[in-house]
Amino acid sequence: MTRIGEGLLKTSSLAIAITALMAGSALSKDAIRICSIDDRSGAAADTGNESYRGLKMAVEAANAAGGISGHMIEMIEYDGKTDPQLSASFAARCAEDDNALLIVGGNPAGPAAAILPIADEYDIPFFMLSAGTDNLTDNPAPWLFRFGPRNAQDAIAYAQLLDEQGFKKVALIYNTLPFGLDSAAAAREHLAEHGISVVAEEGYDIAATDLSPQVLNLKASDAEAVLVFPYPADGARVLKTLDQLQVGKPVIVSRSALLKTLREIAGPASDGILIPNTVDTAREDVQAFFQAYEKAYGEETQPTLYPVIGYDAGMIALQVMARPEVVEAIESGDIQAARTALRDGVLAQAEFKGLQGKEAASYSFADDKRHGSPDQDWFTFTTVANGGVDLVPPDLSKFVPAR
Amino acid sequence: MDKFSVLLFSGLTNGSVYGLVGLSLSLIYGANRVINFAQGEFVMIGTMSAILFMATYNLPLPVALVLTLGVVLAMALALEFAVYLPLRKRDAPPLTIMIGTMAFAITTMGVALLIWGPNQLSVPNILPMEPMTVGPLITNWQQLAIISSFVAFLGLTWFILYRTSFGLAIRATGVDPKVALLMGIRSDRIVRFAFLFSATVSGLAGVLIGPLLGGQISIGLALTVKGFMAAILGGLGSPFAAAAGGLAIGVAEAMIAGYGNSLYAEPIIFLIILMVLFVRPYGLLGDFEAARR
Repeated sequence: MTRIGEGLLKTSSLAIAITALMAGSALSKDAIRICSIDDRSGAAADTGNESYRGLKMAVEAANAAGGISGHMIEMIEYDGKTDPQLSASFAARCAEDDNALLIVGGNPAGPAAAILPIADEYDIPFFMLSAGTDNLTDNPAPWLFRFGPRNAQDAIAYAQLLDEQGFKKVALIYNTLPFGLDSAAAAREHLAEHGISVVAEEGYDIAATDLSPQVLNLKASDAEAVLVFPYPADGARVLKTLDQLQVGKPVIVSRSALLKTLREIAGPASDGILIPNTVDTAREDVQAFFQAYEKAYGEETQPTLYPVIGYDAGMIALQVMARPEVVEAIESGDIQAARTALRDGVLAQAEFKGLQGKEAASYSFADDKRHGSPDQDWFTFTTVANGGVDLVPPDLSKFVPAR
Repeated sequence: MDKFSVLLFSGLTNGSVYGLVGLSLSLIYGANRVINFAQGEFVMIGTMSAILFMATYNLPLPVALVLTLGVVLAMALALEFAVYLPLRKRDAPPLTIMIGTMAFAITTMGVALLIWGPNQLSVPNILPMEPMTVGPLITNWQQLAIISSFVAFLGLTWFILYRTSFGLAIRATGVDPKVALLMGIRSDRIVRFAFLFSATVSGLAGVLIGPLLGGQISIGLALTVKGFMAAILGGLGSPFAAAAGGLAIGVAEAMIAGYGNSLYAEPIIFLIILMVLFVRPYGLLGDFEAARR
């Protein structure tokens, strides 16, 4: 870990501890409970496990610094297994039986959508992680705070990048599941805003073993780049087919390519693709976080948004918990008052700095804006290298129209 | 690169997979009039076992293939002894047995979840995946192996059915199991052979398509549906008709995607199947089944 990065991590932990001490006594008191409900063994287990670990790092740092006003933080974890019904049951248990102060979780959209009404019913803050479906934050949800980007924000990022790099015509290829269809619709809308036309568009069944017909049509079009919206395994097939049929156009793949599975299956065919990410590896504090993460969990991790979202949600929750009104409510033993104080505390603060986004960006929430990440300065792009193994900063001078 | 040839080849690759599953379904249906909804799970177990033996345990290829086949055959026997025979002994109608195979499929997925977990896994390829040019096509050995296996299994099935006395017994059982029994044919052996042979075909298909599809415990369901569509389109009563149905679906999908819009390929295929069934209710090549009734 670099000295600057180490310092930043220590400073953030210290800041929480000092605020906590100022807000109350440091005597040993009842633990404050945080519930983590995420996909730890279902279809999106990679994302759930990484976010959980990020959240745990934030909590452990706070506990090591003495907790919040002498209250240790206790994490209660539930594996939602990508099952919306199960996730909703766990959310009710968190609110009713566990007396948790808040719920953190929701990487896949289905379980996140299922937790949402439970959070509203029980009046418990829900810090939603990377679930990208736009409409999750479209409707009023007084207890919801979203920390990951919306699908439309990914589309804004692609469109801006393509525009800046001089692209005018692109092709889309996507699976015909809701994720692929939604992502393609968002891309169409935002590409049009930048004057970029979609000259070819192909959907495919995720069970098809051969995608040559679709890729051949993309190749035959005058598209200057290809945008892919897949799940991991079918995304690997698209990339292999693009490689096999020597399409030779720059390729952008959605966030799913940040997952190791896609890159492992695609192998060298994934090298050189661009992927939107909300983690800027040029930041010292981000580098320090990933070094600390690898040290804590003993495995090499690529710099993706999933552990960072969990960590940011945890750090922001801890900052707000340390506010005097929240501590006062906790110490009065009124869990509902504490939940309300926590929610109001998030809304009261103008902005929160986190590890997601570029240096200048920050999270901000309001009564009518429960989506924390801004449209600008949030995304960076990463590229794949070394046979699908590594995520590295891209050389954008090479990402230019194939004319 | 000639577009039509590429599309045709792509259709034949996908169609071979559907055809292999359709052929497997039809073999069991021919022997006992039961549609095996666990057929796609044989493909899944083939894929996942290949990961276990070739990647996790890093065994030599021949050993890994034999063990994979062993797992698939054990699963076929489990289906027969745990589901088919107990239900048959209780005079359960084919529909009930079909629901039993569905329960077996779901249970298999649950066990696979415990063993392999939920994530997509990379499946080692037994043949090179690097692109190579064959005439107007760019393909790879793995794709060629899928088509070749389809042809080989089709040939083997034909040989067994039409060039061996055992095949004659299978066909006799397919026409009328009771009369076949009166003629001294052990129909239980015919049914066991159908389960084992169709499991072998599907398991090997799993090993071959794994590197292309990726290994995940839920891949079986979609393949069962496609195989069933193939068998219905071609004609469920004949393995060759079911296989031809698979090819027809694969090629139609590729042509619609290539010359039309891939978004509508699946609905168009279903519409075509419906139209065909209006005219030929027993499938394109279902004369045998029609005559049997």
